[in-house]
Amino acid sequence: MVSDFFYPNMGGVEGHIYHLSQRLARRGHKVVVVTHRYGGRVGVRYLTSGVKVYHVPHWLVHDQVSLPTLYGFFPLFRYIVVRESIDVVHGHQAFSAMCHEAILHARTMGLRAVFTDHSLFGFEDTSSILTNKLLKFTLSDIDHVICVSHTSKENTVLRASLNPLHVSVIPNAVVCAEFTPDPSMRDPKKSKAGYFASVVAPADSFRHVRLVNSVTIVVASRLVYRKGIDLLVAVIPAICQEFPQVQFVIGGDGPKRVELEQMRERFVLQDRVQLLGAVNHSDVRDLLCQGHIFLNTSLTEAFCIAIVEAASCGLLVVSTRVGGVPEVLPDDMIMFANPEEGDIIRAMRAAIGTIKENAVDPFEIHRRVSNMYSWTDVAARAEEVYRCAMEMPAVGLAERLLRYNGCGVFAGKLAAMIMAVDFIIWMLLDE
Amino acid sequence: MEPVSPGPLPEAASPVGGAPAAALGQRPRWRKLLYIRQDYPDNYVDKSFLKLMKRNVNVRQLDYWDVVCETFRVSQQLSVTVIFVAAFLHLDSGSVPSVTGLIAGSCAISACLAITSAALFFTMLLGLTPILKNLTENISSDSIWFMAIVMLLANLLFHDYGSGSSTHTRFPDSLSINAAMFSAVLLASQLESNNDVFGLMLLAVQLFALFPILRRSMRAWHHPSVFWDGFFTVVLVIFAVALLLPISHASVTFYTAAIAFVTFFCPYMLVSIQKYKSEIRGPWDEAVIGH
Repeated sequence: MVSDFFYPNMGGVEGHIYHLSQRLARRGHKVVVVTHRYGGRVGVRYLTSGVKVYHVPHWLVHDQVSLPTLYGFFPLFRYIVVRESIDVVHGHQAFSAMCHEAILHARTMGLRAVFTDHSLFGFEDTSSILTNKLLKFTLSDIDHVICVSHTSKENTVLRASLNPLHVSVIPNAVVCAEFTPDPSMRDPKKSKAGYFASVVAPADSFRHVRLVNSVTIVVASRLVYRKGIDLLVAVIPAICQEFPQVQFVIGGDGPKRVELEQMRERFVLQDRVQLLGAVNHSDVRDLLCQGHIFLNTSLTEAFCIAIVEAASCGLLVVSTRVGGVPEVLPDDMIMFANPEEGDIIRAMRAAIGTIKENAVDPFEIHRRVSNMYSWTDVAARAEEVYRCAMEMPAVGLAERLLRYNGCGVFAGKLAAMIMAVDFIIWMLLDE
Repeated sequence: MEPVSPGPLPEAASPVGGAPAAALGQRPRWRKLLYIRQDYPDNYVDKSFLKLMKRNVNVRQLDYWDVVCETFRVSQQLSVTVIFVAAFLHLDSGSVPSVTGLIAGSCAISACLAITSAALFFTMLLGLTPILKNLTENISSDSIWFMAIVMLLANLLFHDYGSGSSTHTRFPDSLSINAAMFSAVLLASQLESNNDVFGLMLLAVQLFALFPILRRSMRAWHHPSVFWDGFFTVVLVIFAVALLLPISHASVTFYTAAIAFVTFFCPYMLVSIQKYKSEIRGPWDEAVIGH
């Protein structure tokens, strides 16, 4: 497993690598994670299940991405690979320079390489064009690619001109045992026992008798443009005005926090909109359990693990219909809206109505979600991909040069040259 | 490179982690969902693959003559620059009495500004003229020519050709005007008499600062704007040619060739490379917030 993104940094990719490594190790494989240094954390560390983590000393450029040196990482990488007798190198995330370099070196050394793509890219702006070109270069010679959703697969196939048969879709998963519902946390001020009774008792007998008084809506995301915070700013005042019994709890931090605070001041909603700031990953479950509805306003999302976590905590999910989100949850657990103010308000209205009728059983939702996603299943499917990668025939130097040459008219020549130099360095290192 | 769609590679045909393909008939149809476990391999490619991809939805077909009309603005700015340079050369060689420029400038400025602000502007400029004249005495003429040319090119490059509004011009436009005024100061300081300096500065203010405003307001006022754009272009080209003719025939040839290139050849190239345009859109794009 190679990626710039690993603990102690927090995020979807980090969690993915961690859980996948743990499950693979439990299935009897030897797993080694290679990432760059984090502060003073350099050298080898062990995770609980015996997974070895190499924190390679490396310079960083921006946002935990290591400096692309092309060959600087090769000697150390070769040392690790030989010492650990690695068969398959699995790189994660297109942003990670280390992942690209590792795949190139692995192929030079005749190892199998697998790549997992965690995000979606457009084809318009300069940064996407550059990243796509880089991805095309790396994936010119790869055994298998894993995407986290079908939409992501379509995207990756287009970006890197891959054969779709070489791309598998393996979704992310959630440790459902860590995200259990607890309706008693929803409204600490109101009668706990009474509320709890309504959930525990057979739903039908209570459904039309006891109505929910107060509805809490939870938002948990980084407060950035891509997460649709502008939509949130527009929607919250309208919802608060229409439903006096609704309150919002927003967890997360980012540049858009100021706009949320301004909105709260302008509409005097200080007592109804709580801004918690950055929330520790271990506290996310407690945050989610405070709410009835989870609102996701993302503008782009490959998989959206947040809505699965929310559903696992028994919340009704309202989300924008973007990227891979429509593939993630069945229609009766999620309400979709187009990424526009009016439509989100419409979906929220429907969701609040459902909650008021007490028609949602959090434990039932939790039970269903825990049957849908599990890391063990992900690991088993990844194992199949590794097996398939191992069965791929070995590729000679000439064939590899041809593949890299296919990158483009000029880029292809450049890519082939980079590969050839890599090969020479490898021969020097092997002496 | 691996092929994008045609013909699966033989080694890839074996399904990854799934039932053999024999049971295809009885299986339920594949659905684009992640929350159900389907009896299909993870690398299964359905018929619906890339169905939501849209190509060239936002591309509008360009009409050659429309593009030609759009280039008028470029020709205008080019002509304005040429007129300014030609006027400087005439003043510098002394072939035109500076009084002509002075009178022409004064009338146009007074027409554009209110009388009081025009008076203020004239006094200021008149007061500054002797300073401007001596400003670059210590700098070699070669450096002046070079800087003036660079600044005029910057003016052409950053001019706001696109936006039609006269109140909300985009940022680089101010850069463009500043560059032009800087080159005007540089050139004016090369002139001999105070009158010449004053006349050239007036002309620069008119051509680079006030004239674009006039063009924009004309465009906004009269629809379709093609009429005014065409009118201004023709007038400016005639002016420029008339001013360049006494200087040299080569300059006239270069100028007309440049105008023809911008007006006719560039649009032709733009329209002809339209067929290579491939814009891909799909569900992976960042959504645009609608209202």
